[in-house]
Amino acid sequence: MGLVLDKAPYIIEMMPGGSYVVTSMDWVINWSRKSSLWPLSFGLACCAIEWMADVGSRNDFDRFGVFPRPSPRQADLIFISGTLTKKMASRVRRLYEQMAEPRYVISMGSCANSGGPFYDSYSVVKGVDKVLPVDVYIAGCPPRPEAVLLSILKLQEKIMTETISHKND
Amino acid sequence: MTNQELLTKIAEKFPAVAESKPAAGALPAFNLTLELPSASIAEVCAWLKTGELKFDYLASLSGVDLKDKLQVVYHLYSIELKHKLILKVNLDRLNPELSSVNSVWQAANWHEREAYDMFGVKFTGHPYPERILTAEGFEGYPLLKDFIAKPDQYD
Ligand code: SF4
Repeated sequence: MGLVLDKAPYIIEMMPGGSYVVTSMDWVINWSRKSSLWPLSFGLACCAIEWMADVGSRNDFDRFGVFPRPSPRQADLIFISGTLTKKMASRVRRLYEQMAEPRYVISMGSCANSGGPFYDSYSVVKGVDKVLPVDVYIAGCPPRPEAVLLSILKLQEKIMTETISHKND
Repeated sequence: MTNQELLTKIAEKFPAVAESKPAAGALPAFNLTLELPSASIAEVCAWLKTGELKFDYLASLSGVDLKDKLQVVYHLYSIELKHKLILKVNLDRLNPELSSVNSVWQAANWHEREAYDMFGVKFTGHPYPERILTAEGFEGYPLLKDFIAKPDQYD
C-alpha cells in the first residue's frame, strides 16, 4: 500500500495532463503543511528560554500556524534551541525519530549551529547537523524573535518547493 | 561564633588542623579556612556535624587542580548557629583518594560523584562511585589541567 501511494504521484505525472494534477496537489498539500507547522515543545539551554518567550503571545506565532505540541508524535518541526551536549545527542536523535514524516529541523542559535561559545569544549556537539538534517539555521546568541519568525517564513518557502512525485531529501 | 572562636574550638579537638593562609597578594578570606590531613576528613566532618558546632549543611564540595596537587574544598554552614567554615584537603595528584562524607551529609553524594567525574578523586565508602555528568563511556577527567579531549563522532 505504501509503495502504491509512493509511486502513484510519479505514475500520474507520466500520464497526459498528469503533471498539472500533481502540481495542483503539490500546492494544496504544501500549503496545508506549511500553514500548520507544529513545533515540539523542547529546549536545551539558554536559547530555549528565549524560544519560550518567542512562542508566547507577544510575537503571536500562531498566525503562522506555529503552535507548540508536547509530544514528538504530534510535531512536524523541532527547534534545536540551545547547546547540544554529547550526552544529549542520542536522545535528541531519538526524539527526532519519533516524529512523523514529513519533519523539519530548525537549528536555533550559535550553539546548535556550530557549538558556539563551547566550540572547544569536551562535551558539546559541534553543530546539531552532526546528528540531524537541518533545514534552516538561525544565527544569534540567542537569536532575536524576529529571526525566529524569519526562520519559519524561510522554512515555509522551502516547504512550498516540495513535490509529492519524489522525495526532497 | 566568630572565626577565632571557631578556630580555637576546632584546634582543641583536632590539633592537626591548621588555618590556611591566603596566597601572597590575595585578599584575606572572609570565612575561616582550614587545611587538614586527608586521613582525618571523615572524623572531623562527623564531629563538626554532630558536635557543638552543628555544621548541619554542606553547601558545596568541589575539586581544584593546583597542578602539583589536587584539592577538595568543603563549604559548611550551620543553619542553627549561622556560622560558616571552609575545609581544604590536599591530595596526591597521582592517586587522589579520600574517604566519603556521604554518611555525614547526604548532599555529598552527587557532589562527590561530580568531583570524581571531573577530577578523578576517588571517594572510598561512597555508595555509588560512578560518573554523574559526562556522557556514557567518557574517558579521562576533563577539569584536570592536563586533560586533552579526544575527538569523537560529534567533533
Ligand atoms: S547560542 Fe547563546 S543563547 Fe543560545 S544556547 Fe548557545 S549560549 Fe545560549
